[in-house]
Amino acid sequence: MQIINIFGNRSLQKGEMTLEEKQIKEQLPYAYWLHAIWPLSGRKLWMLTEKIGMPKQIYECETDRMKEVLNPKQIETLERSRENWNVQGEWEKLKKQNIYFLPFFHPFYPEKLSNIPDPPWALYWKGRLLERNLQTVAVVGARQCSEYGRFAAKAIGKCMGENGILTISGMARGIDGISQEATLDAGGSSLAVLGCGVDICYPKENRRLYERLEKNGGILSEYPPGTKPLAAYFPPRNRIISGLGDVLVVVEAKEKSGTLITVDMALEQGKEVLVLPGRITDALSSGCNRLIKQGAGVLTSMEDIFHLLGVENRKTKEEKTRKLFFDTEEERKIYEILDFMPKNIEKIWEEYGKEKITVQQLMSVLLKLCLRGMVAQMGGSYHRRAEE
Amino acid sequence: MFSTVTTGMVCGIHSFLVQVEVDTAQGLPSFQMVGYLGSEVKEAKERVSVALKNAGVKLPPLHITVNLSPADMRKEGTAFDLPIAVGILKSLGIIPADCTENLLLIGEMGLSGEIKKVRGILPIVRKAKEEGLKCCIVPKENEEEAAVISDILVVGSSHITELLEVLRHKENLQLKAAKGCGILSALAKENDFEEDFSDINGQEAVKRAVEVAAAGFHHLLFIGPPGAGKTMLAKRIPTILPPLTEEESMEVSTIYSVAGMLDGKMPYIAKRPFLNPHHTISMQALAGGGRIPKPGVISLAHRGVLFLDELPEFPRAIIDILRQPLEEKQIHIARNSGSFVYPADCMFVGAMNPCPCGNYPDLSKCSCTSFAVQRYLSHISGPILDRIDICVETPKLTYNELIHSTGKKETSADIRARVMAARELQKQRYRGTKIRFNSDLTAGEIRRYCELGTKEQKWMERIFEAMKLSARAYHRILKVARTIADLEGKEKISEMHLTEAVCYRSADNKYFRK
Repeated sequence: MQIINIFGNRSLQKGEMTLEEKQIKEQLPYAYWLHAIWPLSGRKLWMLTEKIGMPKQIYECETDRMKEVLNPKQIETLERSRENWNVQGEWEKLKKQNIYFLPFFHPFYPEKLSNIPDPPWALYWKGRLLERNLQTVAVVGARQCSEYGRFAAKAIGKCMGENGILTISGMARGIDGISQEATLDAGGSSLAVLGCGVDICYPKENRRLYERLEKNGGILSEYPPGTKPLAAYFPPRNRIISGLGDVLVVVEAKEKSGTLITVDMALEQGKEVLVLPGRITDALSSGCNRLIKQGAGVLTSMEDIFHLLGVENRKTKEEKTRKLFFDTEEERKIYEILDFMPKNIEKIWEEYGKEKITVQQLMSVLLKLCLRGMVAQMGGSYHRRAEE
Repeated sequence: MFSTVTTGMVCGIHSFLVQVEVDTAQGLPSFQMVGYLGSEVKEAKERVSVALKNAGVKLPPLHITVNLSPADMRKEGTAFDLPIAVGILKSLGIIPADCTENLLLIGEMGLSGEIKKVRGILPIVRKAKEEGLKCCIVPKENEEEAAVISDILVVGSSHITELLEVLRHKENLQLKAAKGCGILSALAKENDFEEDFSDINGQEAVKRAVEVAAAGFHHLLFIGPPGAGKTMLAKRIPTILPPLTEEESMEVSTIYSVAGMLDGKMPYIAKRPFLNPHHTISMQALAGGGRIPKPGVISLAHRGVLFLDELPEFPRAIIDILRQPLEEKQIHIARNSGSFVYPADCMFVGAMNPCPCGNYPDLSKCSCTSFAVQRYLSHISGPILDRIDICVETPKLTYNELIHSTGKKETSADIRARVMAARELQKQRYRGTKIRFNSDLTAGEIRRYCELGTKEQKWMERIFEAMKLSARAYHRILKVARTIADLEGKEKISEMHLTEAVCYRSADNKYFRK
């Protein structure tokens, strides 16, 4: 398999291997051993490395030397794992799964992450390795998004895909998955950072996206393969999402939302944050609006993202307003009553004026708009504006 | 001496006349009863002999044999006491031999000789009338129930001595007969409901959907947040259904009679039944059960409305029971005492929240995950959803809408008039076929009765593709469009009718996409 450096600093050619690279190769199985027995205590691993050195040295060193860093229980675990863990065998097993293991000293370890506070000690990677120096945008938002959020996530994902900008997200339901799917649809690449092992597809319904990402992007995680998606694993992975993105775009967030953790991380890392504004009445936009109030950037068009990235929007022409065709004045008025939030037919009727139209006529107008793709029907009675 | 007396019994909702044959002969004194008897019937021997003694009739030491004919049908219940007693008296010559001619006797007896009420009187009296009998003697408590049947004399009696007087002076029978009000006048009287559609503010679109459902007897599902008036609407559906016809009332009353639910206060059923069982209902209570099955809720709702509120709260197995009865309009119950068929032609109305918290699709309020919503919906099996033609979302009312009534306020009577007109059209169209309503149409019949013009066909094709409809959904839309056209009195289904029907299409998986 040909390997292209992802975010990296150096490029590797097959056959050419410097002495340094040879050493790295030697270290990898030991690094995997060390990481796999304590996947969660990144801080401990950094301390061990600082104190003792590279993983192979740690494997070979005397127990006494670890006493400063580890407590007796941890030393015991380490001792036991030295006996039980077949270093070379386990390493071969991992390689067979087509999972790349990238500890901090690996040439492919993303440079962007080495600059954040609390960088992951090692990463696991599944998928195609991408060309280097790609510009990246992290897109995050609510899992239960509104039609408005769905529309925005799609537009952002599509625009980035068309311009060859990598989108990074969490492959979750809602905004995450929608934006990544849109990027792939537009022919771009996308990267998912998971809160579980890279061999586990979570959530399950995004299986198709997971498979597409494997081919046209990648799946990244700091947890060893087989790690179950526990709630506690998700907040730490947000720092990787924001760390990898050059810009963080927040699409929809409620007042108390996990998305806001990502924003905090991004600010800590000194990243630019762009927030999609919403109406004050929408609970799903309340978190976003608060961020804007606190000074976050406002996303009003795709150009805002390009401006921050310092590139030009080459492909996507901004659609100022969608061309709408109305046969009658009635259709236009009814369309204006509609919203991205689904509205019950009773409400639409009430707002239009019950004396002006019968419910049958109203249904007929709505259905005509539906057939023209301007309106979408949910169930039988709820209608909303269609996104595209 | 040999004598016979006529009585009747019910089996399921079918009734049969039974001949009680009594023979008294010289020989070893004994009292024997034959004719495939259940244990209650066997016990009649003791009740009858003691009751007769207490009424002043001493049984002479004779060889008494009683046979209940036809002897190959199992006899159950206590209604044979009275005919057995009278048969013995007749055989002993205590009452004249011709006094029970063209007469049907029925009732349970107490040891003092009193006559107690029994269930299933109505179908038995009806059977007696059909068989050409002239008079029925029933327990006093069942008198009013029996008197509903016209053109047959019904005499209520509360004690055996009183009854003997009546039988000895048969010429007075006419005078003693209970005055039945006749079912037709009863129907006319009983059709005013406490509830009315004008009680409901707003919800015009939903009311319209209910009207369509009533006109075509389509099964209906309300989806809406709590407090949107789903239950209120459902309770008012019987008020817009056409009044029960005499025959329908008789059918329904028969079921209630068999279930033992008729009494002096309510001798017959004149209103369309409305049943809303709680979701803790058992399978037997819904379908009908017992060793000798009594009609269940689904049969008691025959010709009326069966309303299941909070549909997803019902255990799946309970909802699935409805599948076969909704299709066949009757329910088969097999027990070791035999196989019973009860009618179950009811309009099924369900109500449910759109998601566990009830606020979907208002995402600023709804906090359910899409997984939770899916699981909530999956309580209702697909086959049941397939049988529901009309599905309508009820929005939550604002305070303003609740207090200030807007728009025209139609009474149930107005809507009922339109519903009846639409049903009249259906009756004419389906004359000579088994179909009664548009909802009964099968795929083949839809092709025949819901023919579309070229323009409409094109329109439907566009809808079919744009909305990604299934074949089932397509057929449901056509059936409902047929009803909408009937409501307007049009023979041809127009674009407008189809459009409206599309808006009522049943909840499918797409509805719950988050």
